[in-house]
Amino acid sequence: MNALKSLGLGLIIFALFVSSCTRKVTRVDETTQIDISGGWNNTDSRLVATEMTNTILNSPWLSNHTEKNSGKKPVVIVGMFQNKSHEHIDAETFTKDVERVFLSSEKVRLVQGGKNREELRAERADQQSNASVSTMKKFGLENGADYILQGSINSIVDAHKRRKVVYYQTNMELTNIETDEVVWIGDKKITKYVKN
Amino acid sequence: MKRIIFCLCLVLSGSSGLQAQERFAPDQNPRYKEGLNRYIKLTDSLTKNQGTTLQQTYKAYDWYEAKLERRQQRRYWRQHSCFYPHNSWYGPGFYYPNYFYRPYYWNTSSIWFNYRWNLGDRYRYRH
Repeated sequence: MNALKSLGLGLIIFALFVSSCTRKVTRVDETTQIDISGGWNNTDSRLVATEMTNTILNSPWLSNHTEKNSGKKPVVIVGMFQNKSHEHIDAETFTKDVERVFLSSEKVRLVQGGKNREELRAERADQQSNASVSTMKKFGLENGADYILQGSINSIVDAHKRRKVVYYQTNMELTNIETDEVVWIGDKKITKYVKN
Repeated sequence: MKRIIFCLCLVLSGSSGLQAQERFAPDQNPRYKEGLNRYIKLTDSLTKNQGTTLQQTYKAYDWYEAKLERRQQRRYWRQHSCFYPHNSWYGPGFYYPNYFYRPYYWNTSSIWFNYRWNLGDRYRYRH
């Protein structure tokens, strides 16, 4: 009887030990707000993307461009983003949303830049010697961008003892490449109060 | 004679074609080529980061984070103090007399630790 009791107790302790050691992972909806450390997270990225996508296509720069260029759609290239905050943040998490909105709206055309463009040019160069003449793509026929989308992320941290206020400001600017004229500026400000 | 006139016509038509190529857009700066020649050499380096995020982050001072780092550092020193007793031949202060010559395994991102390191052995071991 005592042996059974000790066996049962041992099993319970073992089960508790195993359950305490197992990691539990669950899938959550991407719109669910989960704040763990107080740092930049997917909710902040989503808020920035929503703000930018809502404003960029409803600003007058788009109608001004089509009026001036007899209905031609503007061509946009995504430039460099600077993260000047205190955390590692990749702007691609919200710039891709803006790009997707450009394409889905069919009001703005996009061209590749940076390393993706380098890869495209390398592939085109490779085709010059390896592809058949009828399928070979020519150099010098790229679409020149009318506007460049650039931006920055800044932050201010005010911390004392266990309390902290973090302020993030995300800026996006659309600039006419020929004239350097800034035609649109979008920003999103996020303030967080963290208590440890 | 006819040949000379023909050659002259050819030269004149060629020069007018060149002039047409050099024609400026309305209000275009006639010295635009200076800028063009300057930036045409830099295009590769200036456009390689397009579509990416340039990380220029800074370390913000956070009182609570600094406290946790200090605690972690104290634990580290407590655990390793037996290996490097004070005034030991192998301890800090003899072989590695200053900040720049400390061994790699003492490297830390804690600004608080680095500050204390500069204060010298006495402070470092007693606190």
